[in-house]
Amino acid sequence: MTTDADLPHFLGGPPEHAAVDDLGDVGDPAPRPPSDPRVPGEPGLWVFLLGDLTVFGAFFVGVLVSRLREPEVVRESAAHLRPALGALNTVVLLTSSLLMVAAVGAHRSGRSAAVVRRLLLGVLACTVVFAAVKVGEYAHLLGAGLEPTTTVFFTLYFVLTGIHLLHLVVGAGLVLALTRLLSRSSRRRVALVRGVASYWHMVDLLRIVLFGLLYLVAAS
Amino acid sequence: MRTAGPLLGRRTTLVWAALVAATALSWWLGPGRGLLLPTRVAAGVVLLVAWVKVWFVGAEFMELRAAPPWLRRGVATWLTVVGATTVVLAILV
Repeated sequence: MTTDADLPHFLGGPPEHAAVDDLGDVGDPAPRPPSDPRVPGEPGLWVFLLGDLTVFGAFFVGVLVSRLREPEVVRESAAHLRPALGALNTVVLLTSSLLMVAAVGAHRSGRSAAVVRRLLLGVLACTVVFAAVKVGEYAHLLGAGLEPTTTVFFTLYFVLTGIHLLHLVVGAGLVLALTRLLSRSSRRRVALVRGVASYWHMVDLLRIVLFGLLYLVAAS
Repeated sequence: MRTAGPLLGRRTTLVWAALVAATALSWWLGPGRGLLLPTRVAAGVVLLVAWVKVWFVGAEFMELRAAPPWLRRGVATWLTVVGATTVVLAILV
């Protein structure tokens, strides 16, 4: 069984200098690690998130540079995408973010673990819908003979949306783990919940840009 | 244990509704549909709206409004640099 002591510091585990005896459990008033409570998660997590955002930012610029170089190729390629499905999946992730905000608020305000867990299961349900639509889109494109090597746009489309989908799957794994960890409620898990939420919202905001970039701007 | 009160604040729900509405409007009025705006301008506007949406997700959902300055500056720098670069590149074609 995973314990707080097994987790890295940014996922809610103990600081490196903490003694195991200090960890406590349910309702234990043991002192929190000296992290800034205003940081949604832990500073270490945010270093990772900002790095991730920078990599995606480079990809975003790459899409537009390829559009500048080969406008016709990019326009004709992007015209094969279905903006309605892109909009649908963006709304699905926005809704998952809303449920995540509710879960964080419920956890923070001391609601029962069952309430928080139900909200997190709602987030997971959104993930399933998103992934199903995405796989459907991939199947439609591949069925039409449009593969990652067909044009530069499809290379970027499959790589970008594939990496994003991978982020989503990792996020879903974290949310699933959270639903199990919450059964052993602890004040220390506040940083863990906020950290997972921050990661989830990052996946959401990346999707917002991907929708505008790949489904709308590239097709124009 | 406190169990009373709504799960979501009115402000958060309104932000979510606005984000959904902006998504639908971007699609409906977006570039390539020949509605309202020339394609170049529409492309820039769509991306600008996308970055405004990103700002709201960061400020409201991620709670960065209350984050320490180093974190707010880091995210704001990323958003400004990448956002401005993409909007300009979108308008160029």
